[in-house]
Amino acid sequence: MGNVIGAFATSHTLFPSTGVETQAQEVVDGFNELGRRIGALGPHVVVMVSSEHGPTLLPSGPQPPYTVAVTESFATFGEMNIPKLQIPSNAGFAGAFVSYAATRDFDIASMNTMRADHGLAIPILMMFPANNIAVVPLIIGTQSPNSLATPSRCYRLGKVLADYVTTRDENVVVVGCGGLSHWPGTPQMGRINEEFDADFLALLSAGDGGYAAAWSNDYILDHAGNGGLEIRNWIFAAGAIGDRGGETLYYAPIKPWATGMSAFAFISPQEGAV
Amino acid sequence: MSSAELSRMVEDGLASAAAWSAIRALDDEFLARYALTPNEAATVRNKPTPDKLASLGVPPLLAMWGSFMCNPDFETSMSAGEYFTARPCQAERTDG
Repeated sequence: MGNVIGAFATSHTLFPSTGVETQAQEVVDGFNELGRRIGALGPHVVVMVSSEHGPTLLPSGPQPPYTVAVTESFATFGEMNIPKLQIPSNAGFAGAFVSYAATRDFDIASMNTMRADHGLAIPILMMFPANNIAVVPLIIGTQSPNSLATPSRCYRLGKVLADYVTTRDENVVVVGCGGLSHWPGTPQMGRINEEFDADFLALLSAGDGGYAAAWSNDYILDHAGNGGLEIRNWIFAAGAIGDRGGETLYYAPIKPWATGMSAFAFISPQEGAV
Repeated sequence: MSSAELSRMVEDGLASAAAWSAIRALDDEFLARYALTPNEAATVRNKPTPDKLASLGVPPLLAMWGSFMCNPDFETSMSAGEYFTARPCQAERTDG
């Protein structure tokens, strides 16, 4: 029987290090540490939960609340001088999850092709430079204000994934990608809400991701921005691993990057049993 | 304020590498496909940043992409290339 054997979360961008070399190195070290920990767990599949910024799910729509890439591999889009590569995936695992979720009151869109922008490409390529781990992308939509999944639904869908994995043979790691507070492309771009970010990380550390899951999207938008909606990807990961708490690996509010950057390691069921 | 044509142009740039290149080159023939207002056309030709496109009504993330396409300096300021030069990925490149 398969299990969710680990869950992590990370911001999903990188910008030039000029002027912020120390903080940029913290971010790189964070990716390295996540890659090391995930590699040590030896998962068969990594479910990467992220947002999609436009190359695949064009802004004019459709913009489903949830979309899973059902494919044996997918390409990176290559913006921001990110290498253009093919990433291995697992269509069987992904497709069966979409079908399973439908029996648990979650209707998830599927797509057979994907052009992964930085939201997936950066964490994948930074954590897995050998590019030899099957990654299944799950996109939680952020672009349409009319089709945003609530944080509580994301938390519940994480639990549904964990249940699904027990019907499989694969061991799975979940990585929530994006956030923390940032306001890309808006008049508030550049703002970082360090207090909000600290509160959110404290909740996850204490095993209270479920409390954050009770927030509304409007609350997150007000306090963490349109980019902050990506914390729902972290909340999904909390739900998937059982919300046992965990450890913030770093927090860096990098002003020139206009983003509260962080990485987080959730306590796994195995660690929790010790 | 309607930015529908400007947004459509940026979205076409996202959908097609050829369209992205045409926008980057400010190709007159390509730009003529879109009914841009004089103000929009001037903004596109003057290295816009996201705030400039957003002020015309372009949605936030499209404003980011539009700035990537129209403003090489902005794209450079957002480059992650240095992290992959120091740590090349071990897989074949594609032209996708």
